[in-house]
Amino acid sequence: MRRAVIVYRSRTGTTRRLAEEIGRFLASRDIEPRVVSVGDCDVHALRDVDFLLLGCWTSGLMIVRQHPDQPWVDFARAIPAMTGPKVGLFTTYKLATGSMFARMANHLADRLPAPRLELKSRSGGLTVANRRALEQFIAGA
Amino acid sequence: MVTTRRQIDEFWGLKRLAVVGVSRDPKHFSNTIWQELRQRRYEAVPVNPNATEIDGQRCYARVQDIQPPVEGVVIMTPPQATEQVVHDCVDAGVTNVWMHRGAGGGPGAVSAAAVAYCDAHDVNVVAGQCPYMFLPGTPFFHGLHGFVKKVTGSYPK
Repeated sequence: MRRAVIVYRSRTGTTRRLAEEIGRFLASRDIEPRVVSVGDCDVHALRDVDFLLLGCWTSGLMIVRQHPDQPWVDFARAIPAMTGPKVGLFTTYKLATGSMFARMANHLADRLPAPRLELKSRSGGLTVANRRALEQFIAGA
Repeated sequence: MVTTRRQIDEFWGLKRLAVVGVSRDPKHFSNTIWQELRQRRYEAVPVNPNATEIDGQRCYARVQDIQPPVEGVVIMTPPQATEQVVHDCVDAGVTNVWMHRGAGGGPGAVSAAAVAYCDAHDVNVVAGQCPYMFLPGTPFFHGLHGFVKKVTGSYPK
């Protein structure tokens, strides 16, 4: 069975809900998910997974300077270099995600394969488009 | 007792903390503070006499029940309960206490009698500050709260 780790950084619980939704979706596609917060994640246990999904709430000033917050950045910097997993990013937001995904990817660029998925949600739920994107993400891996 | 920035930095330098008054409601502020500390890799232990488990973590009734003991305690209770909590902290040998007070005004967890008890027992007490204001990389609105306190002269120095 293929395995996925979904790591979230959540401030109010919305990003955690999205992570859990992603986990339920992957489980329904015969992928074994593990949903864990940045505080509980052992970065060295990420090497042997097929899918690595990393999520953070969108921090910023209304619609400008969107970025992942410090605990997510600290976590991202602690991830060891690896080539194995297919990487996806996800975020929750109020108004706009702006530069959020680009900044997340920048923090991972020297250690992980380029992200193949960018998933965003206002409510923490999965939209039809989100599900379609996840289907494409897991297909063929 | 005036809280200093050094006290606050020393408090956040601790590793194992209890959060007293954690609600089982994940949207309650006390719960989000506890989750925030967990996500920042503190060993954050919930304390609530009305719960045995919160979010899959063992929840303790009193500070002195926690094993291994904690180094510091964040108090999120109403002020009437804080006095008993600081007695529990002293019984447990805890010498670092943070009594929360948010941006909304009111006493928060701060009780004058509890602060006096801490002073009398050499407990390092941060009284009446919001933890979020002092966490590295805190969101804009908590930074704004800190800015307002600086302008009004109530920010710890």
